[in-house]
Amino acid sequence: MSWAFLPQYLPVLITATVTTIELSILAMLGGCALGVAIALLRLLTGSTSNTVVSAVVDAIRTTPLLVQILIWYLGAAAIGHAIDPFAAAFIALAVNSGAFISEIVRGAVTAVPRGQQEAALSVGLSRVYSIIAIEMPQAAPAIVPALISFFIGLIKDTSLAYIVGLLELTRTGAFISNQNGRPLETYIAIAIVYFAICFPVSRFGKYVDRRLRRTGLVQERLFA
Amino acid sequence: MPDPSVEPIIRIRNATKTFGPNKVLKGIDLDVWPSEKVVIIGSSGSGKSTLLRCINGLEQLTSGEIVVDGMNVNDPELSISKLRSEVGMVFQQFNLFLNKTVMENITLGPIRVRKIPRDEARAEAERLLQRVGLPEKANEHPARLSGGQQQRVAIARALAMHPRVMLFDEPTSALDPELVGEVLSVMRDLAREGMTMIVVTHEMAFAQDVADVVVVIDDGVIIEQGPPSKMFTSPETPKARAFLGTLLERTARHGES
Repeated sequence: MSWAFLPQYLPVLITATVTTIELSILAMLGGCALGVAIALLRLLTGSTSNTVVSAVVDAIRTTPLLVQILIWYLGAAAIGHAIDPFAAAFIALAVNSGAFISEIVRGAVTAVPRGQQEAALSVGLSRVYSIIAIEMPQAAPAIVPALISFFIGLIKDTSLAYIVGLLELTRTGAFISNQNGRPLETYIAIAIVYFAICFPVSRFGKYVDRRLRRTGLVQERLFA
Repeated sequence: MPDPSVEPIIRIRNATKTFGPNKVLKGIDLDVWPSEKVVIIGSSGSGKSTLLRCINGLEQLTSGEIVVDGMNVNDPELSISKLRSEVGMVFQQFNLFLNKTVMENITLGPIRVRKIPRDEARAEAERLLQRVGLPEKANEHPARLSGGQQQRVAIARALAMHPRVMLFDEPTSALDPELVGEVLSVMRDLAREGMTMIVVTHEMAFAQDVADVVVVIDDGVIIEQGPPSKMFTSPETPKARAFLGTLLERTARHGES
């Protein structure tokens, strides 16, 4: 193997890394906002909206993300509102994350003992307030570690945006290897960059999990 | 005691509640008068908890009506939050908010529902903690308190809403025997101060001392009601006699705090 060609591509790689990180963070934020909103909607309204929302959530969870990115990109153009590859990838990833995150949040909130909600209602607090201020904080020890490991998956999934030509890490790898004919070395280098991004996040997740377990509400609930 | 010039504070007429195929309440009629203490007894699954939960709107009646202080519980126009702030509820499992301190548990409702300034709410919470004998626990988290202490905080939390009626759903059933007394003593104080109370309990000594009326519920209906003096010595229906008999016997055997 020969790595001599790499240094000249350093600026391109840095730009690609920034794009990947930006896309990951924005999609995660969008996914969290959407996920919490969907979870709230499903927790608040009974079965009526649930059938509609759960059909959409299921549709998203059971189709490949790659296909979803293509549909957003091509679909937007088809209805006359062409969007750039970054926007298409962002929307597809945020919507897809929202569907998964809503289930993480909803599941964890549902697992909080029902008495907490009843006590909140019985002093006149609203159901929304109870979910946001009483139940979600108690569900946090279950939600936060799951979100962090979901985020690692999301970072890796941003590579699928190569399909619409976004110059994130993977697509940039293709570009570099086309130019110098050294695909294996190039993709090993790309893999190392993904590792360098994800590994700290993973360690952080483990740390948060341990902390929440030690000081968090998981134990307090067992106590009570 | 009933006075013809006053209205009952709670009026329950032909109340029924069905969960799927289960008829839990099969037509309950009950009047509760201001300052009255009603003790409800009945075997588990008889519908006594469901009745309490219907009074503060945690469950919807299937048919019939419950009117609390002029508010019809089933009225879709009713502000459920107003109803609930007039009806305090104490649960078997205490249900203190585990992510909040004792102080926050007590002041959350007053600040957010009664819209009272924070300082005032805190000052009142201090007084209430004094009253339930836990002035030093304001900044603790519920998990650090014993069951008896948690239940006393739960009573303070309900009182902070200035309810006109207090509902107690087996408030001592989840407690270790040595912790029952401290909770009952707070409840006795409350009764002495004239609070209207409906208490579901198996504590017969408490019922004997505090109750104006003892109501026996069996299989979703009230089978008998009357003053404790009569109910504990000469209940009329065989079922009430049998049920009270077992409870009193159990009390005699195990003693009571």
